[in-house]
Amino acid sequence: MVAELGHYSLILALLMAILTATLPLYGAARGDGRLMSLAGPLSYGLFSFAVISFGALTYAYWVSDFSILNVALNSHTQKPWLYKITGVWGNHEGSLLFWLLILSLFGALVAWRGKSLTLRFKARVLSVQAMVSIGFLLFMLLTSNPFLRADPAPFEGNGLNPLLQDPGLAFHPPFLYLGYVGFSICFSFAIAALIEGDVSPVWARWVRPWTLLAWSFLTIGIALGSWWAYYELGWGGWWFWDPTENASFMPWLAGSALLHSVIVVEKRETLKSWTVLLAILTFSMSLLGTFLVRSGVVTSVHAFASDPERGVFILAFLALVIGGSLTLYAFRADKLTAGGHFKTISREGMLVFNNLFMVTALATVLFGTLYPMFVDAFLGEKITVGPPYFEATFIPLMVPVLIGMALAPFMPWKRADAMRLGQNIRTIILIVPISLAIYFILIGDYTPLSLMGFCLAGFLALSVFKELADRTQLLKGDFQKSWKRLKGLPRAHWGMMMGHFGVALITLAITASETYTTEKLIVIKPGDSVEVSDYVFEFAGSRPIAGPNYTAIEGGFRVTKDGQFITTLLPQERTYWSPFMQTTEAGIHSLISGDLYAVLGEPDGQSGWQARLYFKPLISWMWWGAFIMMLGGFVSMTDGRLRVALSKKSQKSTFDGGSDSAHDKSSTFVEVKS
Amino acid sequence: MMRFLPLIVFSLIATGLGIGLTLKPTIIPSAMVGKPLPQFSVALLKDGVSDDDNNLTHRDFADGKTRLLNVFASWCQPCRIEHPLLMQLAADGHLIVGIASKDDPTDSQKFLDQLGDPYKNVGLDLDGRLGIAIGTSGVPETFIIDGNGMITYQHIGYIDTLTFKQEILPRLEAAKHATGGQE
Repeated sequence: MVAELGHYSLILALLMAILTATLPLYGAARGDGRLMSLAGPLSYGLFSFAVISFGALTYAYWVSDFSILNVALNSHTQKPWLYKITGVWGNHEGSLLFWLLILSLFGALVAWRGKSLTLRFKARVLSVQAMVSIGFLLFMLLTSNPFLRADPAPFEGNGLNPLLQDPGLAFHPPFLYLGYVGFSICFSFAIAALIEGDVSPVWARWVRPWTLLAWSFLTIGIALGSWWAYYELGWGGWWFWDPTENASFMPWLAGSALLHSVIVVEKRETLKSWTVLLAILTFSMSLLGTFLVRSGVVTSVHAFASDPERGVFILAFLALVIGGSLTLYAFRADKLTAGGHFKTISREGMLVFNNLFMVTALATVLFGTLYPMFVDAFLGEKITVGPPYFEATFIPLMVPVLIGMALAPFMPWKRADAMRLGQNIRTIILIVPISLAIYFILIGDYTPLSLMGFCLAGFLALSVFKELADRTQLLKGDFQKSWKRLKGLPRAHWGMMMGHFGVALITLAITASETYTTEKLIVIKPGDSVEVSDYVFEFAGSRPIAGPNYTAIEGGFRVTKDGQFITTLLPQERTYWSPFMQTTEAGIHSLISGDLYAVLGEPDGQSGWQARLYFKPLISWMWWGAFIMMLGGFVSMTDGRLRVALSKKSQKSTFDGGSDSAHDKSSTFVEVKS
Repeated sequence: MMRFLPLIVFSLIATGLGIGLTLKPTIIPSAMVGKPLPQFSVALLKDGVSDDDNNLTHRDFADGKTRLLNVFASWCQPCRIEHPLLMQLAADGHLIVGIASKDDPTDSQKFLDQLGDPYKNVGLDLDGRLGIAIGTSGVPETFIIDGNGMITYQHIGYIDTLTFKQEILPRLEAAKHATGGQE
């Protein structure tokens, strides 16, 4: 019954989506207000049916209704309730339904809060949003129906991959999807703007919070995935340049570029057509990411082709959405006239610089990800493109990005004075890299790459504080005045600082852990100890333990430093039974200075055990960095000036044109308050 | 012209994807289909232990009767999904031979005691070598072996009523027609 309810709701949602995609759009073209005002209610309808459908599937998982094939294949009565629920989106069909749910939720949010948008523009945005929903609905109904029955219904389900029964992974996909789908709003705004032939600062003020929202979710989603790989896969790696990871990283790169270029549209009314293209590109990457990974085309052409129906559908859908919007772009982009001019050395110039490098980085990642597939398709050869390619192309591209990131906040709009800039930051340019260089050359333990990484991280982090000090005139000594200025800083500015500081932390963590990780691969007997970096790991022995749906061998390592007890690491080697699978659970203890990391291997048959022990300096700062970046995104989103876009008044224009320039330092990010 | 550049780049990628889609065979044919069962001999399952006096061998299949050969294991959850259907098929008079794959005989017996035993007899593939010899890629799988001991069909994964009716039953009938019925 619940399956039929869910299935039926999907069909009704499709009808709603078709109506939303056509009537308001036609009304907008004809100037028919009644048709245009249908967009809101229809979007609510679409969302309601998506909720019912998703609720039906969730209920089926909750009660373990194995008469639904999807539940039988992905759930199990003995599974903890949390993983029953996360199992809903942990599979192909369910994840599509989850996508649809968020897609229609965001559409409904625009319908609800979009009072400052003109009726015509709102109608177009919601129609485009519904068109994307149609694609997902058809894909589900025609090839990937989550409500298919299993006949006969089995007594017990197939379980969930035990690797996936983990909080890190269970919550990693929803964050990614919130990110991917958030960009759909930017996409719909971009398409509506192309149809309308106009991109205004108000447009940018709408797109910016959505970009921030999507970008923040995507940031934390990627970080969670990486953290999961780090503690679950058992050898301390955290990023593999695996196609699945690249698929989430590519929209992030495009989204980061969009985040910056949309500011230029808002403040300076220029870069319009480029920003629209980026909005299309970002969502295209999200679609490519979801579909290609879900269908397996990237990992292997065979998997793609193993279900030709899905493959053809995916390709047709991508061609329609991406091809269609790029065609529209090709014919309409010249309507978007550029505004003010600017010099190369200016804040706009730096943001363009950022965009160029981000998009180039995106292109190299895309190329590396698709290349094996094309070689396989055309030459029939199996090759893989591994970390060496990505490291060789990606890292050099990030160096100028990091430098630009440190410099840009010091520059005013339109035209900056290179000399002044140099004076402004010469202290950190001189102090940071030189002192770091001396330090590392003196201790003698460095590589050119690591030296560069530390210098860049230090330079970027200090530039954030220097810029804050400049802005609040902290160094002038009047603390009361500084405090007032500090409180007066726009939230968007805080967001930027947090974002950039997060990047500095990540750079530092990557450099330190890649360069100075100590690794010991040993066979160890109970009572023996081994020194890893400054820490002594004493093996206390192993014992069998039983979990709810697995059995495990647990090893104990007592870690001390200079005789001081620090922690006991308890790595496990787990064996799950439904389905059968062996996993390693690393024993990890995070210190501020780095992570102690232990993995238990096989016994050697003579009372010894294989073990891998690591000390990874500063590595957990990477995830803190990502967390700070995400927070920065949210802080920036709550900036009052972005909410202003929601009020009627600002629609006229609170745009402050060229009022700020080099003489007005504090207003480079400050808008006319309204 | 610059405005068309994104479209052109995307068209190239999409064309590549499209060609990739058509170049590849959609179904990878199983290596052993159309060949006789390889020579093998494994112990039979009897009351939870391996029956060392009686073996299941390839010769048992070339007796003019068409059979289903089902590879299962007690640790395999999809096997539980298809098990009720196997019980039904056995009740309908189909001959089914089981291969317990990489499973403890005690566990296999428990599995059958719990869910019912649809098999005429069960061979023990303790180390998984028989599975490799007949070309399995996992558990469960179901083969059709005709009356001459030839593998005429291999189904990878569990079977349900629909796949049985659409994919297995017609081939099973054809095999029976060609090489002799079951009874």
